[in-house]
Amino acid sequence: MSKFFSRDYDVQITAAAQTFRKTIELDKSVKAITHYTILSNREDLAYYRGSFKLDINKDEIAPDGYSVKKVMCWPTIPPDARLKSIGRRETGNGQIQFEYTDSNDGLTTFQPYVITLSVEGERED
Amino acid sequence: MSRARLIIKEFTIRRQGEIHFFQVRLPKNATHIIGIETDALMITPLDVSPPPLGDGRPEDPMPPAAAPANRTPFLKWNDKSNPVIGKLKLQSLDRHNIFFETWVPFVHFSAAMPDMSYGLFPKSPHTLILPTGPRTVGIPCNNTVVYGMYSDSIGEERKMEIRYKVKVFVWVQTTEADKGVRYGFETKRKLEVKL
Repeated sequence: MSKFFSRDYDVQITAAAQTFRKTIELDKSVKAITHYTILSNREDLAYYRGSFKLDINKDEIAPDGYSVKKVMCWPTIPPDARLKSIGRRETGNGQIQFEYTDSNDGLTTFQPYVITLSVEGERED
Repeated sequence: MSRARLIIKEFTIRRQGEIHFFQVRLPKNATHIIGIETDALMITPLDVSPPPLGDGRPEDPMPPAAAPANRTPFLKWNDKSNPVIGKLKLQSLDRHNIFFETWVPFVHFSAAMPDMSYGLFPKSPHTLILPTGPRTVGIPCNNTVVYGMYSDSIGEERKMEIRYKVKVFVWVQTTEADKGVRYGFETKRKLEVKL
């Protein structure tokens, strides 16, 4: 019987118009990833400026350039509907590769902010 | 089970009323186009008119004699609308021809509703109040190319050159094994075109 797994991983966005990469090593007990979403402490900046790429176990879940606004939602949504479902991707080598690209736009002014990749899945003890 | 893949096409609109023709290259193992999403990144600021008085900026040393008084109401209504920026058409080389046609909106963050931050209503019905997903189409494809046409309308409407980037997200079904990956919208597919 697998158990529920949920974890947030932060990426500090410190410069405008740059790409930030983070390789996440999952614990060996984590067997599969089922949901993900992107959160931020500056939702407006992430919404207007952000795009990302997500690989789980070297398998492309979202290609480079996918807009962050497509996976964001407000906390008024029921928690079980807040994350994007991706079926059940086994973690394999246990690596999640996350790339976030900040792009200058005409509506916002850059300030340092934090992007959080939130994942849910299954683990076995 | 077969795997869905996402193809991204991105282009920049620079001129007023520009019409942009493009191709979306699909992978050879694509069997169906299952969904389309659009997005835009504004490079030119949309609001070029000066901001209203009382927003914290230093005051003009010589204000005009008939400057309007700042009468911000207690419930400040947000008058930002979500403009339509252009029209997108996608054409398949198969018998379906033009299978997708839409006005592309630019949806502001937390726009289209009054900013009643104290909880009378949710903040925005159009941006983040519902989880988003692609518009499902379900078109079989035997070719690896989809033709597209995008025509600018916001520049025409405002009589100025507005630069922005348009992104077209094309979800395709391929013949690869899915390895457990099944996106949420795939289970909600409504329309299937059968030959």
